[in-house]
Amino acid sequence: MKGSYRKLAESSVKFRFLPGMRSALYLGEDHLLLSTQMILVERYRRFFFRDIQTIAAAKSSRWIWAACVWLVPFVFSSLWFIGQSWGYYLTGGVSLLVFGALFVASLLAGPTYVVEIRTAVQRQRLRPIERARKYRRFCRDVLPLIFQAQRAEPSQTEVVT
Amino acid sequence: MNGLALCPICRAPLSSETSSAEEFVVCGYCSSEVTATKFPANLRDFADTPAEPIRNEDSPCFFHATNRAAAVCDSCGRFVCTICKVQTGGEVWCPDCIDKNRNKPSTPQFFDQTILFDNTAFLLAFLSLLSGFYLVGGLLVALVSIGLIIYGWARQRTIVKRSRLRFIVGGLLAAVQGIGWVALALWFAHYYTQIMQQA
Repeated sequence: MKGSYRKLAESSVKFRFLPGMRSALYLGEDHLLLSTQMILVERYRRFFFRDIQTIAAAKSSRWIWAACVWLVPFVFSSLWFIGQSWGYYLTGGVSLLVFGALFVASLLAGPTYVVEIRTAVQRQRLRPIERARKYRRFCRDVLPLIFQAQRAEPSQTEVVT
Repeated sequence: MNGLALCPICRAPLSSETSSAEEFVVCGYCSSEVTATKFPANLRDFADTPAEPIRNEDSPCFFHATNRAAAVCDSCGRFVCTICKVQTGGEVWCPDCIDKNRNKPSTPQFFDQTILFDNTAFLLAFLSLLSGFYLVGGLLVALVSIGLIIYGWARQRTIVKRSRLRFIVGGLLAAVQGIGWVALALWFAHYYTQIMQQA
């Protein structure tokens, strides 16, 4: 069973340390698996290809604010240079480098979307694919599989779990 | 709501259609730029196709005596109607069997959550250090952490791949904690004896 899942995407590094925000999306044989970690418990939600009704994405400005999370400590890191000794310079330099790199990496990750998947009985945000690049890759790889599964499906009522 | 795509921000129905996942339209309510991919299942109305009623010599559903059986449960062999039939990975299950097999290792397709023993053991050891509880009950915490690691090593049933690294790091941390606490206790006992002798 473990080998049958392929990881499609997972939440970004800074969300991995927040309870309930660490999540990953896996591709199974006939379904998508969303795994969300709540510190001590991992929860799973399955979306069978035959039951998925819509996948919608809305552009959001969250990526700019997410980058600003790193910009604030980056700016404050420059205050280390007020202290006139090599120790302060070194600490300031290292923190400027670290937070600057995180800021640039956050911007380079690209715009964010709010992505939602809907079936007849549930509606769920797909946080792992909320970066534009990941969403496009998801659309390219997974949407054809869903269409294919629903075309092959006979028109009869299926009870969804 | 069948047939309609909803805006993920405001949940309002989208008035215009998008032809591909790359094309965006403006939501009429919240003005967000939205794209929606609708699948054939979106047009399927579940209420329009209820379970068929039983006729003549049809077999009835085990759970609904008035409904015609549409499938056989692959686990227990009971006849089930379209309401009770649950299909996962090419197998048909009845609700009763799903309930019975929910937490069995042989049916990972029904796991909806699992306890992460590795995180529990690691956090227990780590937080006791942070909180200062270590000074009082360090040995107890270390033993509980190691116990959790031994217990959870074979029992942690995540359905996706998960590295054993957290178990190893948690075990090492707990072992160092335990040894450190014993050393600290011995040193304190020795120091206390010396003071008492001097007094």
